[in-house]
Amino acid sequence: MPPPFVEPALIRRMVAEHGAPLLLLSTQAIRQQYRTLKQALPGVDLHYALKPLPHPAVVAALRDEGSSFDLATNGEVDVVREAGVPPSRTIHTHPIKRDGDISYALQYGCTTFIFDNPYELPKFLPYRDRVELLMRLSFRSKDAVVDLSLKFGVQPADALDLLRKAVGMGLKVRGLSFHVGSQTLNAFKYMEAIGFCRQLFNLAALDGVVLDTLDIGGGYPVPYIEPVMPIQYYCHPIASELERQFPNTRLIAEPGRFISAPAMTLVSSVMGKAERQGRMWYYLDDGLYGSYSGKLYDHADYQFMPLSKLEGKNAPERMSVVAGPTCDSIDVVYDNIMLPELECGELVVSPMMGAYTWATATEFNFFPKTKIVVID
Amino acid sequence: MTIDSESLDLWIEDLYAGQVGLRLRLRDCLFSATSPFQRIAVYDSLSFGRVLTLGGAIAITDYDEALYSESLAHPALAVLPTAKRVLIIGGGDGGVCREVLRYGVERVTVVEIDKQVVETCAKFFPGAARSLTDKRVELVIDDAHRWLAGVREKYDVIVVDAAELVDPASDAFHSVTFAQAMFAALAPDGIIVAPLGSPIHASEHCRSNLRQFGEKFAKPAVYVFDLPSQPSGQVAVAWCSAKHTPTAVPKAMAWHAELKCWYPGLQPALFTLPRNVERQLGLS
Repeated sequence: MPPPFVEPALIRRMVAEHGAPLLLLSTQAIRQQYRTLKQALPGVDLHYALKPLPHPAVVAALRDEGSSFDLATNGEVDVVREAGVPPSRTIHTHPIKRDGDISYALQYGCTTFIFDNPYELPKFLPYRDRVELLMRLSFRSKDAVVDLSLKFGVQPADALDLLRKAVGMGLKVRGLSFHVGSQTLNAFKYMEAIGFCRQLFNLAALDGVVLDTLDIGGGYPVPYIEPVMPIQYYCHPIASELERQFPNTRLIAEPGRFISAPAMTLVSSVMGKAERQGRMWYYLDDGLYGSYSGKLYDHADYQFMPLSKLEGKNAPERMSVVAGPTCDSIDVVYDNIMLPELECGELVVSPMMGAYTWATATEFNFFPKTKIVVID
Repeated sequence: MTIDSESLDLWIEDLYAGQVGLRLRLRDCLFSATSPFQRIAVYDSLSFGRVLTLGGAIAITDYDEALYSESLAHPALAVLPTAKRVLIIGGGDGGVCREVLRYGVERVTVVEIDKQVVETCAKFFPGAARSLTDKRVELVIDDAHRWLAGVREKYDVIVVDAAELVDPASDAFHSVTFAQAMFAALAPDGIIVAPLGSPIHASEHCRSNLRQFGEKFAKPAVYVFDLPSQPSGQVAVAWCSAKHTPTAVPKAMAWHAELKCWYPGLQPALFTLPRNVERQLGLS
């Protein structure tokens, strides 16, 4: 079930104080999501991936919950360092790095890095006494049982050679990682990937390289408009497969969306309206170049409704178009949506706006990124 | 450590495909360790005596180890008693090897990935494991799929004694599939025996395994035997040869009297399947 909307009275209070548009961030929701996933994946160290919402309040809440963190850039290193996260609770997961990225993370104290190709290995040599590596795998099967490879990851057939090369260069490889992709509807992909990794652990052990860490990535689904399987049922087969196949192994997961998506609600206001070809057009002060950027980059869709409807007011609805504030004609958030007549200045709400919204927003046309306000 | 079975209610559970399973009541846990490959445990159970589990799945038990080992070895070796070289894939407990050594073989090669399985069985299942110390036995500690890729020799009989025959994960790391690697190592008139799984609970898995054999052999034969310690109680086995057929009654030998399960008259009966099993395996 989608989480409940933020109380309308609280929304009005926040807008009265801070103006619109506004992203309302609940750190309680962050904590709740973390605890739920922790319970669904017992024995797995959750590393919150900062990407979808690299906000200091999120990091602080998760730091207090005991979470670890998945970093990919120097900017993300800054966020966790300023939050006082012990570097031992972080891993750096970008497969492609510059020297400055490695040294910056090391300077902070993050020592676990990801690699997925031979060109990356020499970059670690100056730091070989300090870095520990995980090799990221991409899985592609000719029977199309599982196809997890897009941008990153070494192909299974090349994996053992790459592992040998890294070990031969004197680098410390601790384990494997994979990422099955986001918002998958069931856990089959994880199960298959876990089986592949076991095989590679075995082949490595025969070479005398005993791996002790497995990173199962992220991708745990959340309900935007369509419901998804409750997370405890979704994760159950993953957890039992890990327990069976990976005893005495340090297990890592990298949830991002699952933790942050339900924690933020967008409130924007109607800047203007027009009637064109028989449909009402409403122009909001946030749009596709702003917080709704996830509709483009993240292929996500969000619920949308006037605040008045949330307060229980019902009015006749008609086919409408909701557009963002910029001059670009692509900046349409909802084409054909049933809405009651909205007035200029009226507030509209979208829940589940925590992941890949603010993080990927631009300031095109000098419309600034929407301000985040912590509500609890 | 001894567990007081009077005060503790101890069970292990082995689930087949996470859906249906077998529970065994335990008297004691005799051994538990984690090798680089898997969790290995030996329990003392009330119904089946000692039980070896690998990765939580029951591998062998005192009660039916002989049933399993005989049912894998004799249906092939009795048809080709002149076999000189036999390859056992898996089989680190030594049970199948013990049965194979009853014939006049020159060499039995056992390819087991996990040395600790061999060591554990030597301690807790000596009746099976002792066979691995026979002069005719060559024990190779390696991943069978990888090892097969480098093998020049041909084997008269290949017995798969491993949990997973067709493993897409294993196939992904090698240039040929496991089945192809096995075919390449088989003598022209040789026999392959490979468990397919439960015909009831994993019929799709059995069928896809059979399809792989169908690429090499015109009509793989299938037999079924009972194995009480498996969650399904039953194992279907593929029996493949380009030359031989399995269903004649083999000649009786004096030592047949020592066997617990298999005897010559059983051979044709093994291959006589109930209609529902035939259907589930796609044979009719």
